[in-house]
Amino acid sequence: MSTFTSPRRNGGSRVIKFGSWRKVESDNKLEPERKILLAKELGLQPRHFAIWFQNRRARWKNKQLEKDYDDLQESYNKLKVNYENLLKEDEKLKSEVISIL
Amino acid sequence: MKRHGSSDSIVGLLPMCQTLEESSSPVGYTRDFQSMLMDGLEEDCVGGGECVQIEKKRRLSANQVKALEKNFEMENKLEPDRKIKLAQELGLQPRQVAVWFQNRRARWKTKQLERDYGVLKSNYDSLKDNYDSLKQDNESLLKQIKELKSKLYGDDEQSNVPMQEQCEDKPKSLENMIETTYFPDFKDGSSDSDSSAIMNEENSGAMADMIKDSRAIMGDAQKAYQPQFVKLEEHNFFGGDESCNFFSDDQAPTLQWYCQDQWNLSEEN
Repeated sequence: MSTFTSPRRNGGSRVIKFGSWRKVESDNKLEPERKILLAKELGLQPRHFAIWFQNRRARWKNKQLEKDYDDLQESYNKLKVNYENLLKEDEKLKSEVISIL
Repeated sequence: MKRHGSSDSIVGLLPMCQTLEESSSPVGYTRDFQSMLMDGLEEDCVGGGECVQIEKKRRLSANQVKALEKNFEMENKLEPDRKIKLAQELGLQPRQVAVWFQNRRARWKTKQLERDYGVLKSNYDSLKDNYDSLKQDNESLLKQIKELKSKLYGDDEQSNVPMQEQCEDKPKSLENMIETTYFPDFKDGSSDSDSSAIMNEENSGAMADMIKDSRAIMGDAQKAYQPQFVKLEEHNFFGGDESCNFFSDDQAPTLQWYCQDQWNLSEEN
């Protein structure tokens, strides 16, 4: 029976992979040459590396979206409070104008 | 993850690692989730230098995917018996079905998050717009109040409050306003009788328009106030019969707020 060992299970390569991820984090795309280079560095087949990279990107994107959502939710809640306060003030001012007139 | 058996009929979709998504359905909604499909035998050289051969990983057939998707739509969690049944029906290993469902749920979650984010973003944007315009209204109200107070209750001297940019006319005191309305022949020269006369003619409808506009503005924030304001205007708090020209663009309005909003409206249009 053939088995396939996930690179992730190899603690060492995981660390190395993390380093590589950092390296390529800035440019999300991977140029063919870089891919081959980095893959060699890690002792991986280029395709494996590309796959790993693709997955990492997807995971990162998702995490980012989660964070963005939470941030936006917070901003929204704050804005809502401000808006309601402003509405009250608006009422006050308008009644004031009426009273003056 | 261990493979089950080694027969050729096994259509593998075991991912390399947990995050590997299989995209046998083209429904895969983002490129990022396309699976890595490796045809043929591949060699995986682990760090130690040993080469291990892995078996073919074939895509699921379109039929299999369709069936799985349909099943997923009905119920996205998998009971053990359902899993086995489904696996048998489709000629897959139960584990494969389980993994497919697992991945499918993850994909669905992401899609849902994207949808939710879009909704939240549009809510936020419209709230922000409302907030900004309300803030503008408030600011002009504040200025109005300040101005009115200083003129009506303040000192005797006629102070010309500097106008806001939108009302580009010369500032007029309240007394001037009254004079302009009722005495077209102007003495101090800040307006000439000609323009007053013209305004008298062309602004018969101005009053109605202003009321309409003010209604629109007020409507956004506080509907309750509408009737009161309309009534005030109709009664013409200056006490005269003539249509009040001071809402026209040419002349400084008594209530800058109206003037400003009229411009705001026209800008929006």
